[in-house]
Amino acid sequence: MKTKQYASHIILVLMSLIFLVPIWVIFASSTHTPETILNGGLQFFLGDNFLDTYRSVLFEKSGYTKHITVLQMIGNSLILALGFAVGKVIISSMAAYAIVYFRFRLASFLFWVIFLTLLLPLEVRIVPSFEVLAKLNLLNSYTGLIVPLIASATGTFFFRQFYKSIPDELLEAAKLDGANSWQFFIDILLPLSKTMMAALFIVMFIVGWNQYLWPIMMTTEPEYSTILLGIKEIYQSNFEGSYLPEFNRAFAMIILALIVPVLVVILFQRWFIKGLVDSEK
Amino acid sequence: MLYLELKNVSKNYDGKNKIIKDISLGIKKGEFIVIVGPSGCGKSTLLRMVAGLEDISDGDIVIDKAVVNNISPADRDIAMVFQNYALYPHMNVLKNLSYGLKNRKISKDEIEKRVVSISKLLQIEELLHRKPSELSGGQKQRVAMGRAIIRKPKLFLFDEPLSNLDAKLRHQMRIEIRKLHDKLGITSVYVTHDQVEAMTLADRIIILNGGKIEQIGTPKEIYENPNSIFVSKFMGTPPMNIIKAKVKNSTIEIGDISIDLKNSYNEEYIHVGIRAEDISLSDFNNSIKLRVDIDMIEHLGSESFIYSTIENNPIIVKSSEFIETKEDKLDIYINTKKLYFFSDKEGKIL
Repeated sequence: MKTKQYASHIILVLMSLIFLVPIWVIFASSTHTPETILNGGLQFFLGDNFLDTYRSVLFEKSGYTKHITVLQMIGNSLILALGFAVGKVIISSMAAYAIVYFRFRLASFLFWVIFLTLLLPLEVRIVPSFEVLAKLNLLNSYTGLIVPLIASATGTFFFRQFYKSIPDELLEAAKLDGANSWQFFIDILLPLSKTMMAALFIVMFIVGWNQYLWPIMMTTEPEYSTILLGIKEIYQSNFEGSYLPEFNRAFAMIILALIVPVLVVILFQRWFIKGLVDSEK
Repeated sequence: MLYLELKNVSKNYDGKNKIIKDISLGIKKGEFIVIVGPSGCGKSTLLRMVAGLEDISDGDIVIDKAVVNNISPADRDIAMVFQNYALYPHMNVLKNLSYGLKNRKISKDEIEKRVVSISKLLQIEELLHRKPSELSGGQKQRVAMGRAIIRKPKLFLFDEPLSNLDAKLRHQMRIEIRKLHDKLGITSVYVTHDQVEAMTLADRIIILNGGKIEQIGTPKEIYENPNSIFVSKFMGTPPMNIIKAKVKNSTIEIGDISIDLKNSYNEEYIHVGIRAEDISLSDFNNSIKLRVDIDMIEHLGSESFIYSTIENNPIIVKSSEFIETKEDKLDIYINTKKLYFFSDKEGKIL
């Protein structure tokens, strides 16, 4: 019994190391001067340039055009990821509500149409989407960044399944209690789907944060640059520019880009688990 | 003065398949009505039509002089207690109770006053801040009733409210429901498949069978004057014994005895009904003797049930004595004044 426990612990530790060591190496390297990295390669131990690197990365304008600080890029990423995740949760919960609770013609047909869009990811429709937004004059705007990505077949599907598991009597009790359809949605359904929403939010936030292709097409103005675009840009300038390659700054940006999604996961995971433990249904 | 009135109410899905067939009935203010019937007889559908949760295919439903066919459930001013309670899982008891009042824009002070008095009435004061998941079945039932009472509705609907409780709790809640009704006097319609609940709770019972009313009457009337075999077998534990007997010149023959019929009857067979308690093991006035085969004896402590047969007709005899016998035949004495006669074809009383 004991040995079995040790074995599983060793496996867990090994797996964690496989994930954590590269991140540690990146973090350790980011605390060295660009010269050290250029001469000695990746560093495993901490250097003494931490404050300098991170301060300059966070607060000095960087990129090709020196127009935007990393802090602003993180802000952009945050706006994109939040808008993306919140929008998806709102739109898909409402779409599922309509499909499950309102009897209208073609309801199930429409659901399957929504479901089929799973077969058409953004990459497939990126050119027409771009065209539409260009014609609407929404290039280089947060609206243009977020709105075209907001519809979610996965989210709608999950909410639909969840709503279907809620007993009809609850709806009937609410009806007799004088709740209209809007009140039923806000007062009963949404609180009950808290856990679902937290889960969906976590997943969608990460997906939104990691959006790369769409922002790179949508934004030509550096003010709208997200942190991922910033990382790409700094690498590009490392190899194409005439400056000394600033790997320490690139690494620092990678670390900074990690922090927000990690925080979101930690924060919402608690809520998520609490929801599961409470089991209010 | 009728308070709730159903006029030729029918219900069908997609034009065929009639579930409720042309039902008309009237209920007086303050009455406690129990609708009882086997599962699938349409009793829940009927209740849900009154509540407005199901559309009416045909006919009118009138509550307090107003036709409510096209009025939404919320505006009919009725309250309903569901079989699975249907409490809002994420709200505590207090919020469950007050949700309906809040939606009706009743002032906070008034809501608080009512919550206090209702929770006192139902003895759920200590539970106000608990969630439904932290309540026992009986407590949930109380809260569900509280949520209905607190609105002071015109009409109270119960949809098999006790069927999720265990036998002991069911008995206790049954008494409480009746007491509550006597105290509040709200017109109530109660649906159940349990004839004991029907007998004990009702001012009047409506027996439903296959979407049609079989009989309406007080528990006493229903028990003493069932108008069909269905009713006679449905009401009472054990069900009424029915013996199919051959008719010969206005007398019938069961075993080796014959009974005279009062009126002439021109079908070949007739069904004779007798309740288990109208059969005795000793001779008395107006009794006739039958010799039956014993199948099994069931002892309940205070009474015994003797399951027996005569000419392939099962007969259950109730006796207050503890019966022990090694023999497989038994003489029973039937009270001839308590015999019921039903027609063979329709099963109606003669």
